[in-house]
Amino acid sequence: MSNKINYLHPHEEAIKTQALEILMHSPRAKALYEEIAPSVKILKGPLPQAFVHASKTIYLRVPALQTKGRLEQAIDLAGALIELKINATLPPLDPATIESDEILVQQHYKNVSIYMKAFPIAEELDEASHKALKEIRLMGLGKLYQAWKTGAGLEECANIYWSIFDTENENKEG
Amino acid sequence: MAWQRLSDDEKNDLLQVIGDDTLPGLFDSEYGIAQHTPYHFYEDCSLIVWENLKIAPPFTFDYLRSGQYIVYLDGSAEPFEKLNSLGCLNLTSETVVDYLEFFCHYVNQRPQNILLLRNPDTMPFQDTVFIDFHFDKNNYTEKDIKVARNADDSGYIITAPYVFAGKIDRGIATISDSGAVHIERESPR
Repeated sequence: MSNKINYLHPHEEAIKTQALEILMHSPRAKALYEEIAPSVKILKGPLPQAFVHASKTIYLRVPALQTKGRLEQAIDLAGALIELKINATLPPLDPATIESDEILVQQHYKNVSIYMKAFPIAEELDEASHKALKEIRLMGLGKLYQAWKTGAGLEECANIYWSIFDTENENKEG
Repeated sequence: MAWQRLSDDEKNDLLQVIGDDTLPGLFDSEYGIAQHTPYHFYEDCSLIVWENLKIAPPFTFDYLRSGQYIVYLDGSAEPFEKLNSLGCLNLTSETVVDYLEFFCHYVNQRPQNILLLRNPDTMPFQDTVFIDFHFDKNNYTEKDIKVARNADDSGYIITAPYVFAGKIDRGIATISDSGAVHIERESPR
């Protein structure tokens, strides 16, 4: 195997600029972005997702056919900024235990915490006419948002988040 | 689908090919696993997934590999075109629906994404779609997927329910024998 792979998105600059332009309409996100001053890289890949590394690096994955930065990227970026902030308070992951149930549960709760902190940013974007709450729903987070909005705590939100991935139980119950 | 995990040696060999030193944190051997699975519509070819476990669900990179050749599935049809040009694709009336489902999963035309509605009850992330979906999906079963050979015998036509950007509609997919896919609504709204 010798072919080298280019992961960088062909429209990296445009997507980054447009996603940041949207995100800056949220005062909370703007403050976070200015505080962290991250390096943002746009990668191509089938499904949008964000990944953070060390203290300042954010990878946003965007389908190769997409040419513009959308609200989805802005929300992913908001989540990544929040994750960088959270990670700064956590010990580094140990490779020896990374597949353990304990770490999986920790990661699960961290994700839910990120979303709960991202929802106020989404609301600010929505108030700035970006239809961010509709996007939250399209991203599969509608139930989680509704629970958070009606005052659910971390534990309840975590159970809802888990159920999003669990189609087997849905079938059994259905 | 039977996933098989690559051994540490196989994983490190793979990382020599898929890794990128300019992208720190993505391909660290000790923080990830690699798995592969064959697909019956491909001969001597498998799907390989690199999973970075630093987050959950893992940050994944998916590839198709045939022998020494590997393509990264980047959300476009180009990797399929490259791999299919090697002659690995084996489309028959029995395999073409699985191929179409696989293709739709990996070729993402967001925000106008198209998915084959194979089994409405097991589609993941059902909250991602519009409320109509939850009512409309009950009108369809896998029996609504009809496969026919193209009139000029150069590929297949699959008439089926599809999810067009979160909404279900009937559509027609044309799949050439070389694996090129084109999907459109049966009756444009």
